[in-house]
Amino acid sequence: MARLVEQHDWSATALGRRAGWSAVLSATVQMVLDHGFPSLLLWGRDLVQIYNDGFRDLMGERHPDGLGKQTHDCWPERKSANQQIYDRVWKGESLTFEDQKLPVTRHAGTEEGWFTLTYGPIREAGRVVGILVTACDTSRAHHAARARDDAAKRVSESEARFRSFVNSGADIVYRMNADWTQMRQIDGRRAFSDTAGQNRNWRDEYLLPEDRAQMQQAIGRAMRTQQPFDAEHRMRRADGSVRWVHSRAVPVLGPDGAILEWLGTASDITESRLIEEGLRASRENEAFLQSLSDRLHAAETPEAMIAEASRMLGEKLGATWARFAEIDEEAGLAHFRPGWGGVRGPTHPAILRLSEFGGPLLAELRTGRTVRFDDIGEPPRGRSDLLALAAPGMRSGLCVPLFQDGGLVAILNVHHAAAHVWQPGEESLAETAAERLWSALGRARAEAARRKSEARYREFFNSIDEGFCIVELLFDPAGEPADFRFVESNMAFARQTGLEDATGTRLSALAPEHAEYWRQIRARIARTGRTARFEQQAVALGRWFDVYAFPSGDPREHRLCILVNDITRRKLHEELLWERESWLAAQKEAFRTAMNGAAPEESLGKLTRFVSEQKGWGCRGAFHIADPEHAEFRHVIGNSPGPDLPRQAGPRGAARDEIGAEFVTEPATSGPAHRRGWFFPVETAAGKSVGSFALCFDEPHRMQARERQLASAIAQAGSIIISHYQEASERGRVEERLRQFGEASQDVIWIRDAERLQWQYLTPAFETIYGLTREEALQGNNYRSWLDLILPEDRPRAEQMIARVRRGDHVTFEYRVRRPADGTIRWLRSTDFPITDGSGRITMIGGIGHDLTESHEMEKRLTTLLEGIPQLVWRAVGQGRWTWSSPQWAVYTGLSARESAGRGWLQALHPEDREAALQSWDQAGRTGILEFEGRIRHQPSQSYRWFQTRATALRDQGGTIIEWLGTSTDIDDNRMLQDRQRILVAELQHRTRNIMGVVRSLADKTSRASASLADFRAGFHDRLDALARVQSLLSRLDDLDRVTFDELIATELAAMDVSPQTVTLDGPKGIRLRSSTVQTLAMALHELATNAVKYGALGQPRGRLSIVWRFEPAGAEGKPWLHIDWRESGVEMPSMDTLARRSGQGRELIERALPYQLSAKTSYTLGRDGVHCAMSLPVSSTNHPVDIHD
Amino acid sequence: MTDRTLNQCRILVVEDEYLLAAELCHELAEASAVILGPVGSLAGAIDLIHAEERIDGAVLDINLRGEMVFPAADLLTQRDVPMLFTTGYDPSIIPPRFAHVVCCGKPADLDLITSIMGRLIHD
Repeated sequence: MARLVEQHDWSATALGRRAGWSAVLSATVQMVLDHGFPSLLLWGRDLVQIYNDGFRDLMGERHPDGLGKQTHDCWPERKSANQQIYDRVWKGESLTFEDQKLPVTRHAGTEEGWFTLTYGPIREAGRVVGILVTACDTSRAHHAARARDDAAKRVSESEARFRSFVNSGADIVYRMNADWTQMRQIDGRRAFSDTAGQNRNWRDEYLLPEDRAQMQQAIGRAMRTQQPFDAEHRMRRADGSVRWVHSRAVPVLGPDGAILEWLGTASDITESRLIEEGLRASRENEAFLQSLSDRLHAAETPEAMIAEASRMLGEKLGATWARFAEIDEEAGLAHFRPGWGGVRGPTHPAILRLSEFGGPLLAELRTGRTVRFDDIGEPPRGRSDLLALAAPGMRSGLCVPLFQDGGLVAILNVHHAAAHVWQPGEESLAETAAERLWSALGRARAEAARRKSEARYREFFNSIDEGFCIVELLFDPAGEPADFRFVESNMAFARQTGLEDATGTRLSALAPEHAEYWRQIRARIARTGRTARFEQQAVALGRWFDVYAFPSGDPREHRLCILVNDITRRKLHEELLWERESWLAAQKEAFRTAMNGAAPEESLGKLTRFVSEQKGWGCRGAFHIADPEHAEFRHVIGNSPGPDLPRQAGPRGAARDEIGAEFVTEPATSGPAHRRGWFFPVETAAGKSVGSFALCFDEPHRMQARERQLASAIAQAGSIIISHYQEASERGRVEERLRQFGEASQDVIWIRDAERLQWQYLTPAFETIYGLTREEALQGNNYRSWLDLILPEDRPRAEQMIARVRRGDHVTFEYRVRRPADGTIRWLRSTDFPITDGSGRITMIGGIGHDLTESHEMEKRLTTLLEGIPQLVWRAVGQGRWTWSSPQWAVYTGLSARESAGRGWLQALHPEDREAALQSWDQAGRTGILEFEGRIRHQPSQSYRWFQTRATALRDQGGTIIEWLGTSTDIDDNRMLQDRQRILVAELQHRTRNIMGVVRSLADKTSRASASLADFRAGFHDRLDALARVQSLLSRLDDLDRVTFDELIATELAAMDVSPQTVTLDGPKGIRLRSSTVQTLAMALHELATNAVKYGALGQPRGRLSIVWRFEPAGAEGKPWLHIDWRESGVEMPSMDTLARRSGQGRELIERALPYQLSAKTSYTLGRDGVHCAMSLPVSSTNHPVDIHD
Repeated sequence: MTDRTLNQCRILVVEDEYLLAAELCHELAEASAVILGPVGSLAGAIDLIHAEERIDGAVLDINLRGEMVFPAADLLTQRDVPMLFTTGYDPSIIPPRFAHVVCCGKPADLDLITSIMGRLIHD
């Protein structure tokens, strides 16, 4: 720092050149620089700063600029605080402030340090010429032990410097031992007796007896807490006079933390204390009055003001009452307002008659003087005024009169219930309070009156429809009007101008954009004092105004009244009208151009040109057309925004996104740089995008609603034009294709316009079918002519169908026409459909007419044929999907054609046969032939009969199967016969084989019983004949026929050529035998008969045979039985050997075979005169007694 | 041949035609078989099968007075009794489950029946 001080240019400061410094200044500067404590020297009245290294840390960023600078300039934020300190020091005081927290710059960082700051005057020739500020770092108290350790050491080390520092100050400095019993040292600055050594009687010597206890208390507290001692007390000077000092002492701590001693200073504060007391009283009064004013201001009514003022004054003066009364001299009355009455104040009348106060009191008040009574005591007679005062219990009082316009108008009374000596201060306070109250009341009343009239004015002001404002013109230093402030504005003004809350605001702040123009207009009016009326556009507000302005009030105030009417709407309408007319003209022109077949560039160009011709818009339009796939947009006309655009948001993006998608282009390297633009999708009414319209501005631009509307309208017009072109080209393509097709088609193809239904196009096939030339057909109202050709019964349907197509339906219907040329009827099937334009509107109707006449006739013939044949006939497609079935089918199965359609016919088929039927259909597709047999239900009888179903495929020319024509033929009878035949064949085989077995067996048995071959031949032949007879009987039978017993026996006996006299037959005829029993029974009877012929009754003349049978309807096992009794008589019996040998085979049959095979019961006995054989066997259960007769 | 005799084999004979049954029984008896039956009805055959604990073989006529012998054949199958069919019908009348059973057409070769029965029993 010493170097910096040396190098500083002091000539610029009040100190002057370094060489010219006084000895004191030089010495003091040197002392400061050498000082161990942070020190700051403030020199001269300018308080120029010089500081040492220690203090530099406290300068912070103020260093190094702070050197040589005036201290207030360096520390402006502390100026007011410091000024008080410096003023006192300049007067000779030394000041010390302990534990001040200051920011310290240490180690390149800022931290907080605690300092004791001492301010001492530097004198030269008895005059104060500078101030020395010393900062003693007490951070140790806050930084604990470390600092504490070397505290004492540092104190002693700095003793010498401390002393020299002390010498420069004005304070008394003292040292006390640890427990304050001894004063070790005091430097009394000559006023107090110095002590150097141990002084145990310091209390008696310096303190006043009445302060000692308080002092001891403060010392005790400081010792206990080891905190600095701080007290204000009186101190006896050497000359016996007593002075007030402010005494402070800090403890000096030893390494063990114990207090070593106390180091203290005492400043003489006697003068300041006296001044302070006076000041305090004055400050208190001031504060009271300030508070009174505040409260009066806050009070809302005069009554509240009176009550508040009364209370405050009463409390302040410690009075019993404080009352305010208004004097009505004319009426002779005093109106007391509700005032303030202490805790137990007596009631006070609200109105007093002035006459009751007749006397000197009122007279004195009327002169304007405050009247005071210290003690009314016993009022003397004749002093009615005092009596009136004393009546409510007053002993003392102050009466303050208040005047207005030279007359007494009010009084403020303050009273004590006891005697009181009024101090001058109290009197003046009451007077001042009364004046303030009165003036506040006046203001309040004036304000109330003003408000009332203001309200009326405001009401009018705000109710007018015109915007109205009063402005005050503001001038720049050159006297030119620069701005103006809104003094007042009504609601309509805010509404019309959009300037809200204008009052009190400058125009430049509210609407800086358009301040200039208005300012000039208004300035002219304000200066010339003339009124003006004009229409003005406020661009920034986007409005038009009709303005009428005239000067107002005092010309020096430069005020203007302005009436404003918002005519934006009218202006806009005027502009829009013009714009619309020109737009309509442009649009019409564009449409006409397009309709005349001009290229799109030309027609759309009319639209883009209209845009660029818009005055003041500075914009251009461009059209892009989308290809059918909407993949590319081709630029058509106008200033394209640039080649890069399609890759950006571009026309495609814009077309898909919201209307008016914005784009910004880079300034192009060539051509006009369109800074900004918007894309508008060009869409058909149906929402199909056909292109885009771009609006590009040369200058940065914010899109206006009008521009957006116009652009949308242009885009819409563009869409109509583009659609027109697209439709035209599409129509061209389609029409060409249609024409080629139509020329070749055998069907009639026609197109009608949807509006009038007139044919516009007819193919040549029409002529063939209708027998009319197309020229003839197209003449006149050809729809009507067409309808006339249609047979009347088909006409309504045809009209109805055309009407449906007009509504958007696709229809197919049939109708008949009568050809005018030959009167023949043609049968037509027509398929009609709507044709729409790009927007989805039906503009035309197309139709295809097919001549069905031939096929109808064929069909009719076929149907007749099919319905006539006995078979069930049907038609089918695919794999057995019926399309038609004959009435015979319906009658037989009960399933209508509709029910049978598709696979419905399966219902009529027996469930077991369905699978096979479907399989047949599967195969039929490959072979082209369907054939299967299945049972079909006969609905009337609820029974199934077998049918053979066959179908053949009808194929088209390409060989593809188009239909199946099928029949189902009843084969049930056939099939039954076949079944029967099959059974019969099997049975025949069975029987034959059995018979072969039987024959073989017969042969074996016969051979065994034969003596010779001749014998065998005879026996074998005989048996074979019997067998043959039975077979012939059986073979003539059908299933239900049975051989009857009488037949059987007759046949056998006939074969034996028996004489009728020999045999007696007795039994019922018609007993039906089981077929399975016939052969065995016949064989048994044959054996009996043979034996009878050979050895018995039939071979001997006297022999007789009796065959008796009978029928038992419910015999054994509940079945019908036949009982046969064979009895021979008159027989000469041969030897038993012979009989046994000869009859062996017969007996075996009867006794073994019949029971075995027929469940018969038999007996065979050889009686004396013949054989007796009884046979009982079950017979056919089909026997009925009624059929059996004798 | 000797090892294929039907010595004491118990053979069931089912045949409704008495003469054929008698002939067959005679032939089997010649071959030393013990004849069970003959029976000429399905009911009789079933009763006999239930009644006989030991049946070594069976000769079954298929058509027994209009009834088919197969229920009896099923019972014999359950007891693993070897059998053969005789019939005057076409063999197609035999259900598939008896496809393995030998069927002799009528008129039957009795020697053949005896030897087949012997082979069936001994194999």
